[in-house]
Amino acid sequence: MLFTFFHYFIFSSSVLLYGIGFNSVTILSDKIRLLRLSLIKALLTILLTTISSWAVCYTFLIPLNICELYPFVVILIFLGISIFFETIIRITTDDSAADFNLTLLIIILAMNESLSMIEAVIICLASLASFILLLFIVHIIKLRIYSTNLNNYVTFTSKKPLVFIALGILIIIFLGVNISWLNTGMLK
Amino acid sequence: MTRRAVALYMSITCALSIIMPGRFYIGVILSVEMLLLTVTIAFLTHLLNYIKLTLIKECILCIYVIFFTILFKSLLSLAMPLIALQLSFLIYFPSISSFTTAFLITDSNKTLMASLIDNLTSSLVFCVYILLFSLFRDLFGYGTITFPAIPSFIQLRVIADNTGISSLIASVPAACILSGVLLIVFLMIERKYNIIKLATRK
Repeated sequence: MLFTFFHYFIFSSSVLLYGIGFNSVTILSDKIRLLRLSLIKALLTILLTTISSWAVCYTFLIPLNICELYPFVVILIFLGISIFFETIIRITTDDSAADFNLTLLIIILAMNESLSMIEAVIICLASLASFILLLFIVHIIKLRIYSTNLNNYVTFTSKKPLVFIALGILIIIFLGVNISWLNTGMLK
Repeated sequence: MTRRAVALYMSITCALSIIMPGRFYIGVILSVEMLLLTVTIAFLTHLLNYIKLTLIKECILCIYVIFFTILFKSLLSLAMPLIALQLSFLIYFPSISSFTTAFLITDSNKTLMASLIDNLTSSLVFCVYILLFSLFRDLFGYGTITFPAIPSFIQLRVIADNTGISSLIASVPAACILSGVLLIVFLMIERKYNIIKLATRK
């Protein structure tokens, strides 16, 4: 369980290696304080959708040998739950927390790579935790860019290339230990 | 497109190209998926506008995107099982990405021809970038050019004995850094172009 969590959290981060929310993390890190509501909604949507989808797949799709259709079940349940939460948020706070890509991809990843419902839930939590961790890291990188001389000529939109380069270096730092650098093929 | 939309478009394209394996045949398959998705979404949007089903149009389009991806994956599994296995989860990325939600699923009430041209223009630029990027990674990372074929892929070795440190070019971090550099070049060109445009206007 713990290994599965850390696998999708850091070792094989769902953001850095699977690429879920790779673009969103560079955009949303600018307004990190306003994301509390969206993240709570994403967490609830992901958990409820995963549990319901897993139950439906286990009850109907597996006995009928049509497991390939699981994304179809996921999107139908996801739309219902997501619209329900979105309506509640809009009525109570006059705000919007609509998100489609990140949450749906996390659920599909969890359904695709899990063997039990608990494992699917752990993958979901680890993926969301990985996204939040990356949000903070990218936010700090951007603050660092602001505080340097680069800020004088790098505009708002063109900070992104530097973030991409920083993320590339971050992947090497996280995953460099997995590469056998002394392998003769690597340093030929 | 506004300047901000172009920046968003470029960053989405770069983000998608980073996560795919550095093989040319993967680029070809994802480009074909994107083009088919673009054309069918334009037709479906037009049909939904025609029958005045605009209230739940976005929901139907989201469900259609998933339906299309399942169908595409099934057909790919039949024709190229090895490639379908390698792509696995990645096949959902072009369809469930910010690109689809920001540029293809829109509220506009344009004619079929106008929306087809609009969507195809954005998709074609996206596909050309993906193809060139994957070709670069394949060529300089593995020293080969690979093409999709039934039941697997064809590999042409261009650079002999390319198994050293250069294989890092095909990796995800190298793609990240390369995308960053390409974005810097794009933004520099755009800035110079704007300066020239302003100067000629005066």
